[in-house]
Amino acid sequence: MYNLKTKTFGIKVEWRMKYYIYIYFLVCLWTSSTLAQLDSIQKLEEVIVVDRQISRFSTGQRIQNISSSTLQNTPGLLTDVLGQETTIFFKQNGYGMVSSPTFRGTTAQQTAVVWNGFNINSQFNGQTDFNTLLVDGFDELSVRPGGGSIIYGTGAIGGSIHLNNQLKFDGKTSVVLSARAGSFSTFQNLLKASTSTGRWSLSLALSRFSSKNDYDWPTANRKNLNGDFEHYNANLSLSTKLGDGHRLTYHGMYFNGDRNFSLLFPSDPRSNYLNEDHRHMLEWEKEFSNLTSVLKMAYFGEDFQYTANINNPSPTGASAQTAIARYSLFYTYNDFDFNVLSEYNYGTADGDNVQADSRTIASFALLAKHQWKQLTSEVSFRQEYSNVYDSPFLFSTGFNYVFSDYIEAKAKVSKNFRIPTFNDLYWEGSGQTDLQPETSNQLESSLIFSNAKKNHRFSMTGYYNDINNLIRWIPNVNNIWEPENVDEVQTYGLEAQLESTFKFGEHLFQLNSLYAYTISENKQTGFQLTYVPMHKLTNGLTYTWNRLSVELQNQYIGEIFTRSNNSEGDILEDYLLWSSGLSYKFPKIQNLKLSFQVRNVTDAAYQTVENRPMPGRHFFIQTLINF
Amino acid sequence: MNTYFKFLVIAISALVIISCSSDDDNPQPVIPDGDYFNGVLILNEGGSAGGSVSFLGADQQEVVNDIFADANDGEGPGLFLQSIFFDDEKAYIISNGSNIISVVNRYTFELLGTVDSGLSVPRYGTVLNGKAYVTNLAEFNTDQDDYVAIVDLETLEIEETVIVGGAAEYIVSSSGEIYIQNASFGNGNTISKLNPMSNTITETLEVGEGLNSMRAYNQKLYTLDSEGVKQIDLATFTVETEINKPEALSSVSNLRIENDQLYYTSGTSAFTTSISSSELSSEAIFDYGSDSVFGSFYGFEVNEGQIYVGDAGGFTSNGSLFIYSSEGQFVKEFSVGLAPNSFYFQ
Repeated sequence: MYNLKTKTFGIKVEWRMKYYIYIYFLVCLWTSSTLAQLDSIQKLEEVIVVDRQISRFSTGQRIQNISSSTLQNTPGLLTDVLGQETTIFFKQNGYGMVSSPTFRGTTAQQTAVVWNGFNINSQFNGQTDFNTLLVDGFDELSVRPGGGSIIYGTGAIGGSIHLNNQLKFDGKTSVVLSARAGSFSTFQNLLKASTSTGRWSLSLALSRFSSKNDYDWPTANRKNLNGDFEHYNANLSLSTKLGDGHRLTYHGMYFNGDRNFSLLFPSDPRSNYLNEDHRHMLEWEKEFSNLTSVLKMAYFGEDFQYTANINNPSPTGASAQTAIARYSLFYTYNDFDFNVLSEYNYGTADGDNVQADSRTIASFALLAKHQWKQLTSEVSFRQEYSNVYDSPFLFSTGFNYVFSDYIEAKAKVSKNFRIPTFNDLYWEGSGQTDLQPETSNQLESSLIFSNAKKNHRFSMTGYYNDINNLIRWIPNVNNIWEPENVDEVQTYGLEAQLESTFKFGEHLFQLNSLYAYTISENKQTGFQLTYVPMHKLTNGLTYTWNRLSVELQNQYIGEIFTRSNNSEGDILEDYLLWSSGLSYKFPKIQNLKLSFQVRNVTDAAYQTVENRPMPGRHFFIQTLINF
Repeated sequence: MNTYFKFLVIAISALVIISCSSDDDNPQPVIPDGDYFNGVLILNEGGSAGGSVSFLGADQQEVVNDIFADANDGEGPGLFLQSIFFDDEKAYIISNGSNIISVVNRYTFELLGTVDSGLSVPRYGTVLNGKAYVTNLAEFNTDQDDYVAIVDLETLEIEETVIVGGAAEYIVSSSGEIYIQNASFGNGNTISKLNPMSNTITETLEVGEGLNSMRAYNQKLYTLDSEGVKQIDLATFTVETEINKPEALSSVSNLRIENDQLYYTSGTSAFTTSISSSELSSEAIFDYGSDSVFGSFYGFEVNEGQIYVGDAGGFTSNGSLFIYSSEGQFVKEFSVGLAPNSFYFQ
């Protein structure tokens, strides 16, 4: 089926390579000049992450960390990384198109995306399109299943995804350059550089991802039409120690996406979507002996422009700005850990379909953790006040108990929420200002088994989540779709993870398997929510021997209902995808890593949204250099 | 076509086949070939994954869904199916989301061709003298660009487009002229007349506010608006009779006419009134009690004394077809495709 056009492909790669050699050259010049200044630095092992709560106040929850090398090695966008590495399922309108997550059976607005400690879900629709995030430039990606509204606010119901930048004061300079080319004229490039002294730290990442995305549709005798995209992302982080325990840190990111939406039928109008996001935060930290005071100011700008027909353009768009001031105080007293959080959030939006309006939210939270022998317990509360809606009082309590070196147990109970978005409130002719926030009461518990050397670990988590006042847009008498607090949903399920490392001499095997069983049921009808698979299984096996590394991954998604009454004729079939990769490091050439990757090895025909075929077998080659 | 006539055709053809001996070299049966020869076509507007066509046989035993995709290698007829118009054995399926008209054999649903350029949110069509006249909504923010595309049915190319000067919605041909309802989504109050010789709008007639449906019946035009039903004489193109809506009836829509009876809906109830009455009846034939706010009476048609109701439910799962007798007796219920909006009888 798949026809690799070797000739054109080869030429393009060659052309690209020339381009990269040129960039490599430029960067080399730049690094050598930086290195020259680094003579008098003493080495310090210190990593600054501004999202302090995730590591300190996640009692009762399991955090899954995804390394920056995984982010760099996985072709594509955030959807691709999380699809393989977590239990989250993504529905995509074809590859690279709008991608909505379902985390523990919840809706797309009930997964919070958190950038350096701040929730960045869209002010307009309350969700993140996971195909508008290029993540290879980030240093750390953490996934925190379960409620997190106390710290991360609205939408942290199914779970939260944390994108973090790290800053080091170790006096080292490093540069990573990566270039990838693949099927469907796909190109992905990354430049990531960081440098520091004992007082200053700077980190920068630029990434680009583009594709013609014209893969063959296995069901119809044609290619994916109008699916091309081109994305750019820039991250900049800077931190300085001012002495006397003071530190200033800045993180900024910029995303620019230009995407066409693929056609269902060749005669559909060809549409385009441009979006631009700016995010900036500045933090002033002061450390006392057992007290840390952190003041943060953040500004987010989000803009989009949608053109329904590029042959007859009359674009519509909107923009939103958010300004946030947050003050946190961390206090440690004997076995207690406290955090007081207060935040002021001012958001404004204006657009062609959204009435210009603003929203003010003030919130206060108190988190307390106590360590007593093998038991860690945590209680926390949050109350929000808004000029637009009534916010519920939120609480959570969590426990970790270490039975022995082999067994650990966790449990958590929490109340979380999602607030109405600007579209829900102010959409012209439809917005309803009397909407209530969605609320979720949930509980979960986990058992974690590991061996003494901690190279084998197995964990199981069960959860129950009761969600009320779910906002859904439904048509009124005049065919005007309006949001209403109509639905009640309960989700429950099981998650299991096995991580194993085996070493036989120089041969290293690493295994990571995840399974999720998910029930997400509309309480009024008893039916499973649409686009929530009951089963998801992923496996990843990596074999490393010296400079050679071989990777084999698979992903199984069970059948998916596309109709709210779960009708049998409208089910997307289950599918199993395989992908594999081979890479080799050349230590003599600046640790150049050359990789070859194949995705959808068996050329399986599959869809994650009805009538939206996904790509068949496709290939990538990647070169990655570490300076 | 009359069902009895069709039965007769089948019976005769069957006789011909039986009586023909097998040594005959060309025993071609004369019945129209196809699984969908006798029954009702149900058009399902569909959601973001495209629409579909269902079929209910004349015996009213079983609905077959997705007959278009089944006959055409799984490919669907497009996004947001609006309506079907016919010319002899051909059916023209209008997709307003994909700007395409799929031409199929109405009995087999095999695709014969498409009209896929020059359309912009096409809505309804009608055929006169080998040409199809198709209304197009064009841009959503104005009705001044709405037009009628005139399609040569031999080449399936658009020959000419005529700007209507107002909304272009339902279209019908009667006595050699074309009539266009200049009202969509409850806004608008005029009917335009298009002369098929000159391809120009020759006259525009004002009816009542909130014009929502229009039907041609016995060389007359009937319109339904917020004031009631108006009967329009086509020779003079004037309103000659009004059948007023009483206070007791709130908004009415979906005008249909069969056997000198007017049928219409209000809320979740259906009503009927004699064509010669002076006031619309406010006594429901039946109230089918749908809990769908906008999806109730998403489709509505009257055929041979039976009332066909399409209910779209919440638009997130498949819709339903309810059949009632003209006296309001419930007859049958079937699950059809997503958002059933119209019925066509053959």
